[in-house]
Amino acid sequence: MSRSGKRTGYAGSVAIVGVTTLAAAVLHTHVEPSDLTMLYLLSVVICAIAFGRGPAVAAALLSVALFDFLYVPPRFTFRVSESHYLVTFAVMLVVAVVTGTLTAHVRDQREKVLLRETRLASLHRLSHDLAVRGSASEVLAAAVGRIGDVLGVSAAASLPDGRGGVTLAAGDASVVGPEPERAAVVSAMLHARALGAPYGVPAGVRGVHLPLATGARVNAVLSLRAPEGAPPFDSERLEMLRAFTNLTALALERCRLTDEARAVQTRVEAEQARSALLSSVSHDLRTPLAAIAGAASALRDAGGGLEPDARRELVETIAQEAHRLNRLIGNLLEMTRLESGAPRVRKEWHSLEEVIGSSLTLLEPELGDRRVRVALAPALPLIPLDDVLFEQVVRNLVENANKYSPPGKPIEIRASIEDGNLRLEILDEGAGFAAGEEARLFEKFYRGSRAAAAPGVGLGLAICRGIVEAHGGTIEAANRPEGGARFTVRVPIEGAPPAVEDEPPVEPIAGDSV
Amino acid sequence: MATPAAADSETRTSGAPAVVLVVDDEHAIRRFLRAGLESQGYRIVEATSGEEGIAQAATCAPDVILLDLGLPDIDGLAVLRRIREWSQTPIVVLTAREQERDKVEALDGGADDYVTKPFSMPELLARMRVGLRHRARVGREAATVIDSGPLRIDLAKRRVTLGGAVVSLTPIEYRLLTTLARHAGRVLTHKFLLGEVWGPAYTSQHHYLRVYMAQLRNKIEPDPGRPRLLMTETGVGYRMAETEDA
Repeated sequence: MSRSGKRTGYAGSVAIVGVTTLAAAVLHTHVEPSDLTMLYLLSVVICAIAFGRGPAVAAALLSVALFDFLYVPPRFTFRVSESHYLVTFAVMLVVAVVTGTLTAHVRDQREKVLLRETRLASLHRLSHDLAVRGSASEVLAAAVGRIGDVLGVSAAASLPDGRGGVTLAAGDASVVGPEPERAAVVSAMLHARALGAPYGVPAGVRGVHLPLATGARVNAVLSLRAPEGAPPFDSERLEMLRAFTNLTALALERCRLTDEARAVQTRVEAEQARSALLSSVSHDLRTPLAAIAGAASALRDAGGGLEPDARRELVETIAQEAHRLNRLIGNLLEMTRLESGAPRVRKEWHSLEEVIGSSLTLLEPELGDRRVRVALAPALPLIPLDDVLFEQVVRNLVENANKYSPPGKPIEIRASIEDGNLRLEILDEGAGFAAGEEARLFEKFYRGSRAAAAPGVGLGLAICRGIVEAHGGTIEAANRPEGGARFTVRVPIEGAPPAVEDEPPVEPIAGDSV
Repeated sequence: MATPAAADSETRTSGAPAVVLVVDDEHAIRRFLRAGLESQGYRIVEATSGEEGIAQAATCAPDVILLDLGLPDIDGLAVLRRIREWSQTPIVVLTAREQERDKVEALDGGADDYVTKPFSMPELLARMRVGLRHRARVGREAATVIDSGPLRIDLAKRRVTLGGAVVSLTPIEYRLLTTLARHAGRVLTHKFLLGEVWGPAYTSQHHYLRVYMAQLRNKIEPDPGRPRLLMTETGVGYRMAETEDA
């Protein structure tokens, strides 16, 4: 009980005894003085119940003094003529002490129970709070809020920053800074040691810094600072604080373990993807190589003994497979370059017709006699793009269309301007792709479920996406309602194409006219 | 392609086989070049480093030089510049993939043409032939009529006909076409074309070239979207296709 509470208790005792004395003054003409003692006894019991032992004893002493002075003959003196009054006084004192002690004990018990209840309730709330937090910083934010509220202090939490220092994760920054507070936080983190009153108090440190540790591992530091002038934490609150920090430390550990498990999972998946990729790539590299080596050794060993047709077949195999190998290595290199993230898009204003034209020229051997219709919007302006890279986009998309549509079916290329973007479409009349594969088609090494029969490693479209995105554009795939696939590329046109002044109209050609 | 051996090596006025200097550190490349070129009637001199290449270029008087850009000792571009200080021998550069900037630098630095590894023998022979022909023409009076398939350019009369019909060209289109035609078969860089047609102040105005090339193709190519004559060398420049020996 606080000091002011005690003073109130004694004042209350005096008041109650005063009221009793007034009542006695009214009654004493009608009753025996021994009856008045009962009245005083009652007031002592009331004081004991209401204010505890001290005020009760004070009330007993005061009652004895007043009763003796006012009502014990000879009245208005403290002398006692009849000895049995001395017994009365003793009884009043004993009653005061016993009831006061008993009630004080009962009240103490009740207060303790109440406190425990509050603490259990807030622990319960905190643990409930923490259970639903997924990350360390969320856990700390919840804990800092709850602990600050319950204890009536400013609170903050710090996490290690990975460079031997700490970083504020939640709460009031002024609690953990500046020096020497910050040094205390670092020290608590490094040495897993609580700092600040009532633990070790380094000079100048005002707060309390508690490591949130499980075993020897400190996951975070909880820092508290009581308001100016508040008393230090009592054992009750320290115990509560300990319970809070243990709970929070466990929640943090749970987060850390979850994160670790997730990281391990990711690593395992990446490892699996890498080995799948390695086996796929080495298979795809070896296949053409095997054909080349086989054909070359056949040519070497047969000497001049081969039929011209067989010889031509072998030579053709070598040339074709070498070409395929070269494309594959080119794609792998391009993918690596795109993934290295080096910005190497050199945009200039280009004629799309020219870029498409050179892509188709490069593809002539593959396309054979397949028809490719090119439908460009009339007066298509120059487009800002990197011609070397964009040529690859067109080339890969047309190559793809060629690979996945039956012979004789035409490929169509359309281009127009739409909302300030170039919209380029490559359409084929092949089988299209399975529903739901739209996005996955652009993942590297992903091969459409209908692609198994065609050669390839699944890099062409990934490269297209990489290049288009490096241009700030988008690429998407869709099945056409009439059958076949449609790939749509959009590239933003930023700025106006540079002007090229018109020349004077046609110069008549010198010399004879025809 | 089965060009008779004599046709290629005949360019040497003496009638002796043309000498090709191969500067490449890769044994496999040199071996395949020797086999391929000797069967075409060329005589081969090999150098395995830049310094050796420069020395050989001075001593063995090659008719054409095949220069790899990735040499172990000095940069191929430096070799090119040093040879060009005193020699006009045609140089065809051999480059690895995706090095457009290197190609442009080599061409602007005096190389006649390039082939990208891996290249085919016919491709290389075509580039070498153009270089040799160009060299053979130097000193002779320039032709006044250039024929390229259905296209005929009469330089004296400033008249361009396509399959007999006159094609109206603006002065810039005409200059662009004749520049390409005079170097038919050779790749010309953007910078070179802009300097020749528009003047030295325009060498970075690449979009001029794109606009006028499109106009020219519209007038000359049957299908401007799939050009057969005015070919794009993406990232490098343009080349007029070589349709017959001029």
